[in-house]
Amino acid sequence: MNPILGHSDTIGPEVVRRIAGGDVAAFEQLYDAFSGVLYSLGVRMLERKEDVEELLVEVFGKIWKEAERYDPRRGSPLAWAIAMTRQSAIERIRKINRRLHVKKVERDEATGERAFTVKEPDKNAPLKQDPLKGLPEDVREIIDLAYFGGLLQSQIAERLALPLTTVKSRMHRAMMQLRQNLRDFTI
Amino acid sequence: MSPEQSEEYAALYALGGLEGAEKRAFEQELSKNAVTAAMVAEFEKASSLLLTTLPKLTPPPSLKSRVLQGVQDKPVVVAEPTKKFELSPTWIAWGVAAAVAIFCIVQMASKTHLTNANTRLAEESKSLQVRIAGLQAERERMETRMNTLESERKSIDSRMASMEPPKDPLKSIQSFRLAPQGPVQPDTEVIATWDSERQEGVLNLARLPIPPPDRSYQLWIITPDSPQPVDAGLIVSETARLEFKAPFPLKLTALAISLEPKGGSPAPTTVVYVGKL
Repeated sequence: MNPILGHSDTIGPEVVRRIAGGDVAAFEQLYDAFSGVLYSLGVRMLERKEDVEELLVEVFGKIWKEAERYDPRRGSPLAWAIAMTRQSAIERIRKINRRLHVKKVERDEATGERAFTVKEPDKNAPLKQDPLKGLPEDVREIIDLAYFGGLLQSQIAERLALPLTTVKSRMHRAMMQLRQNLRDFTI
Repeated sequence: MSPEQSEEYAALYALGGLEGAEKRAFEQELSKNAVTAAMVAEFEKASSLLLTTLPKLTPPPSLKSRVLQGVQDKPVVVAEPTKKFELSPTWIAWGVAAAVAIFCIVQMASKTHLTNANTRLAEESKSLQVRIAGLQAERERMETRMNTLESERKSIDSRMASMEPPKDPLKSIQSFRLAPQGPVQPDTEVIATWDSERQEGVLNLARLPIPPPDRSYQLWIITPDSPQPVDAGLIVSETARLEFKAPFPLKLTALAISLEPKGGSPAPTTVVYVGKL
């Protein structure tokens, strides 16, 4: 079982339908299943615990209020909640103009090497599978900036001093790889 | 948009990388293309794999209370990011003006909504009334039809009750033999059949002696409805079968054959055969 997603995938569309009908018990069930993974995502994107808590209050509030708008054809409830959390986190990041999850990209004038580092997973996390296996580090950087940093492709191009087309192609390549690896993981 | 383009844009969109005109164009495509929407969903699911790179964290228990409190007590208010904000008189004035404007807009929207709802309800009510009237008319028609059928049933019952049972056509028919009155040929046989319903009969004669040339056989009906025997006709000698009718409605009690002068008599003189019914 995936160490972070855990039992989150046990929440099916019927739970969301119950929530849409005002079932607080169903909502609590969803909270218990999703709060860990969404909290981890929030911390990765916003870092400050206070901001993350506000983010989750907002996201779960949206889930409660907008449950009837959930369309199972567009993905699982977990994918829906993750997309909602990312979107809200990105809006917060853009609003307060912060990028706390990645260190500022700087070039070492002396070595010419990039000082940018992607935040590494917690060493205590028992993760054994790499969803981006087979991808070079520069592609991973782009994915990390886009997914967790909420940067647009033009912002990534500017930050990494790369042509926009290069950013696009690398993002596309990474997503194709992720999709290929999806079959090996349990979401 | 080609399939390859759709796939590329779906991947970038799921990652949150699209922007500007490209994003708007793709969202337009997304809204009308289920295949593209499914592609985005797949990429979003795939991108969730990135969460596996994160350390597993547990939110503080107080967060659940906050979330549930907001859900149970009031609509959840989306909180702004942590930011200090000082209220100035100008902001207060703008705030009040905005609140008044929002109030007016809400009132107008509410009124419009209520008006539309009223109109819709009135139309529905009118439609239902027409429907009810139609059903009521139908019910009345059905009741009338049922009453008619009930009357017809009663009429048929009445007619059936008043109808006589079928008659036995043979019930009114009786046969009897006429016996000779004096010495006659031993093998002579005279049998009569009488239908009291139809007031007619048949006389079967076998080997009746030929009368003298100046004489004739004559048939008579004996009935209480007449003081004298009623003439039923002459019997010619060659006749083996004689059909006869009562000249008027009567109750036949007997038949008689007499030997009369040629041409017959108004009353029997010499009776040669008699048979009682």
